[in-house]
This record gives sequence, C-alpha cells and structure tokens, in this order.
Amino acid sequence: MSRKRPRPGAEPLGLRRRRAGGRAEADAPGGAAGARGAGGGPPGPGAARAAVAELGRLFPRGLFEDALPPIALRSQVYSLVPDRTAADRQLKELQEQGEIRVIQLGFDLDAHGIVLTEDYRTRAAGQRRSAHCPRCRELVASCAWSWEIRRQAVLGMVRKAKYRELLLSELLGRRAPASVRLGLAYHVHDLIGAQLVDCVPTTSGTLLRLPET
Amino acid sequence: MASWLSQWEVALLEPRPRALSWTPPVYLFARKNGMLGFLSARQAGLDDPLHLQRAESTRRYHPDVHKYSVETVQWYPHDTGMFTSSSFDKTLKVWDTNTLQAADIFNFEETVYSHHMSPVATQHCLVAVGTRAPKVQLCDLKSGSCCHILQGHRQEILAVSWSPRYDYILATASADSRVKLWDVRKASGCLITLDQHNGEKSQAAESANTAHNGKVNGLCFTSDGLHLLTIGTDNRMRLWNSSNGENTLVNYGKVYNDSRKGLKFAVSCGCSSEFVFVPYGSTIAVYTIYSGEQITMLKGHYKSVDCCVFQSNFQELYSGSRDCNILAWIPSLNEPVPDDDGTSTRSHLNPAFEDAWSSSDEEG
Repeated sequence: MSRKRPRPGAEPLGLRRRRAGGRAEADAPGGAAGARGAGGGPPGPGAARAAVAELGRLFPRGLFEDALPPIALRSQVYSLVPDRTAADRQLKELQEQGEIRVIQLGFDLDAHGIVLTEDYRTRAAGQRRSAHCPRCRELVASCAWSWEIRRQAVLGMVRKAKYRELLLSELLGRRAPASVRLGLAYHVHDLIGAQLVDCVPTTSGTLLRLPET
Repeated sequence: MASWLSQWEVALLEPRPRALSWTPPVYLFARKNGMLGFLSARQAGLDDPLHLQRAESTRRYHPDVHKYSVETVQWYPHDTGMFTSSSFDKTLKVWDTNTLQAADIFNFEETVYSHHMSPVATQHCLVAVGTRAPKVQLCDLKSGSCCHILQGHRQEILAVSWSPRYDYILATASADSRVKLWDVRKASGCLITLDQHNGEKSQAAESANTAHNGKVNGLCFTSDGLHLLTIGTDNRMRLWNSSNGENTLVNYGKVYNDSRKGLKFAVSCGCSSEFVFVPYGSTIAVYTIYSGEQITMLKGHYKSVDCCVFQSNFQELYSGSRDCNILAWIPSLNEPVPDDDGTSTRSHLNPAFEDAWSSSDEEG
C-alpha cells in the first residue's frame, strides 16, 4: 500500500500556471486571478466571475460571424474553481444580480452556457434589438451542436493515445484537428470540469487520463 | 482529518456479498446465491488486527434458504435476536438468530429490491418494502400482515429508508426519478416529492418535480435525520433538507453509478465533519457531506463494490464487492511518512493520540 498521502481531486489548470511563477506556456490560460487566494484556501468571492471572464477570453472572436458573445461553460468554471458548491453558489448570485445569463445548451440537461450580460447586450443590440431573435437562437443551437462534436473529438485524442492518457502540455501542443474551431484549451477546460478525464499530477506536469469507469 | 484509512483483514467469501448490516459485535452479510452468514468481530486493543471469523451461515440445503439473490439484510434494530432478509425470490423472511430458522415469511407479487425497519421506532414494527411494483408495502412484524400500501410512484421502488429522527417518516426512491417522503399515518399520499430545481419553472418539462435525471437508486439519511442523501443513475448525488424537501445544491461532482439495482452507501456517525462513503466502481469515494469535497478514493477491491456499512462505535467502514471479499477500513492512526525521508526512523503519531505527560524517568 502506498504510504504517500493521496491528493484528492485535480488542481485547476490556471492554478498550476500561476504557482509555477509564470512559466511560459503560451497556449494555456495565464492563471485564474483570484480563483485561489494563496493557492490553498477557499475560493474568494470573485472567483467565479474571474473564471467566466478568463474563459470568455478563450472563446475565439469572429466565430459564427461575430454574432455570438463569448460563451463559457459551467464545466469550465469548475475546472478553474475546484470547489463546485462554492462555484455554483457564486454563479447563482451573479445570475440573480444580473451580471451573467445562463443558457441551456439544448441536448444535455447539465450543459449550461454562461454569458456576461454586457457581452450579451452588445451582441443582441447589434442584431435586431431582440434578445430572442430566431437568428441568435439558431446560432446558439449550431454552436451547441458543434461544441458537442468538437468535445468528442478532443476526448478522442486522449482515447487514442497509448494507455489512454496524455500529458496536458503534449495535448495542447498538438495541432488541433481541423474540425475543432473553439480551441484546444477551451475544450480541455470543459473536459476537466465535466470529469470526463482525470487530472493526475506528475513530475512532468498534469496528465490527463480517461477514467476506468 | 487528513490521512485516511487503511484496509485490514480480508474475509474470503463466495459467491459475492450483496448486502451488509452490523450490530456490535456481529456482522451479517447476504450472498448473491441466496445464503446468509454471520461474521463475528472481536477487537483486542488498537494495535491488534481485527479478527473476522465466520460464525455461522445457512447452507444450500437449508429448508428456508432464499432461492435467488438476497438484496437486503438488516438486524432487528433493538437486539440481535432477529434479522430480516429480502430477496429476488419475492419474499421477505424474518429469521430467528439463535435457531437460524425462518420465523415468518412475507410473500410479494414482484421481486423485492429493498426493505428497511425503522431504527428508532418504538410505537410500531413496520418493515417498509420496495418491490418492482410501483407501490410501497408496509409489513407489520407483530401481526404478520402486509396490507398497508403507499401509492404514488409510477415505477419500481429501488430504495426505502426510515428517518432516524421520527418514527413515522419514510423516504422512498423509485426508477421514475422521484423521491417521496411519507408520513405513514397519513392516508392521503406523500408529504413531499423532492424537486431538484426547487420549484423553478424554467427547466425542461421532463425534469419537473424529479429528484434526479435518471433512476434514483440509493437513499441515506444523515445520522441526525435532518438531511437526506440521494444518488441516481445520472451520476449525481444530492443532499436534501429532510424537513422541507429543499435541494441544498451541494455539488459532489460526478458520482459514477451504473447499478441497475439499489446502491447501498453509508454515512459516518460521530465524526467532526460527517462523511459519506459511496461505492464508485471498484473503489469507494469519500466525500464531506455538507461541503461536497471529495476527500479520497479507497482502493482495495478488485471488482465493483456493491455495499458499504459504517460502524460508529469503532469508526470503521465495511465494504462488500463482487470480487467475493469484504474489506474492513479503519482510520489511520499515524500520519503517513514520506518514503524519501530517510532521516525519520520513528513514524509520527497523530497529535490527537500523543499524551502531554512527561516521563517519570527523565525527572530526578
């Protein structure tokens, strides 16, 4: 039996970058500012908001004819804010204060897209001033459908690897398949937060491994 | 509590144990082929290993043996003179421990998934039984009748549990994704149906008024009876306030659950922050109940774990699995020493167990 204390759960991507003292990995997010106070305490009150802003920066602009605001996913917020209950509570407060909107991405009852209200209004104002215009809904639906396909494509990259595990740095360094338009980092956050892959800390960095179950 | 548990003695049983129940110092287990057995547990001091010895078990030729898999066993809550077992052979049997004969047999129309006797009730001797039929049946041990029926669910009942706080409150979980709380004295239906969205109407219509987005196959009250944990095939575990049925929205993450029958999980009793132990594939996941944090995964079984039971007197966890083993888990008394620390020759004892008295050899 191993005598080493097992580390519960995964550390978020952003946190590892920050604690490494700014080790440059250009394609990974720079670190969730405010997600963890001293890298060990409970998440600060602005953690979820900072996470949503951070993830919004990952969303590629100009996609879908620039008609969609940057959408973050709830599972991505979990990968940056490891305490899920606190993340849920903060997102609910932000929703009640009107700072974010939560959109149901049709196919999966748990898949929620999170949009900052100001982004949502600027985009909607650019359309026909109707927040529920059919074109917007079509775009969100097609975004959701394509997101699911891309997510499975990125998961497939891990699945095809030898022993079904892949170093995070290697995955991010690979050329994204042509179909993945939202960016590898975006999808990796989503996979980690949705617990579709396990994060294992190793001496060479974080390893993504498919769970046995 | 930082470091966790180590496993101890392994009892090899075949075929696989499906359900466990404890009352000190004897354990009762149920086997998949219909047989039952006892393990007696003696503990001689903290340092000696726990000895589990098979004391008695029913044999295949026993006249009252169950024909199919025994799903649930439970000691009579007040003493060990009696225990009950329910099985896929559509019966609930009440056994006399000393003679190992069936004292009473209740027959049902459908296979029995789960049964439970109230641990606190003194006014009644009702056993709640969940079967493949959508009605919950209450059998009275005193009179031998089972005509009290609770209607309300639409599919099979996968788990039932009495409240450890109130004599007459019962929770039932069904494959129709609903969990209902009943007061069995009331004639007119259930008290509360748990709603995961807490009444918000904006969600999709098919998940309205459901506790989970899939079958609900596990139920456990916390030891004080104020909260209820439910687990479902949507890979979620939820914590509810049992007095008003509100979803506390504690998020445990993905709690993998592919069991087509009931999943028997356990909560701790008497710890400073209570834990819940959930079978998770071939490991046991340990979470803090009120914060949702995953503490650790207990690895030791080779195949999927079917049942866990927690013994609060010694703070031990027992788990049964399809690899025909029952494992006993105890809290680790010593902090684990890092392997590469060659200088420390003495393992560091947990400060809670150190005494502050000076040794008399050092003085004078």
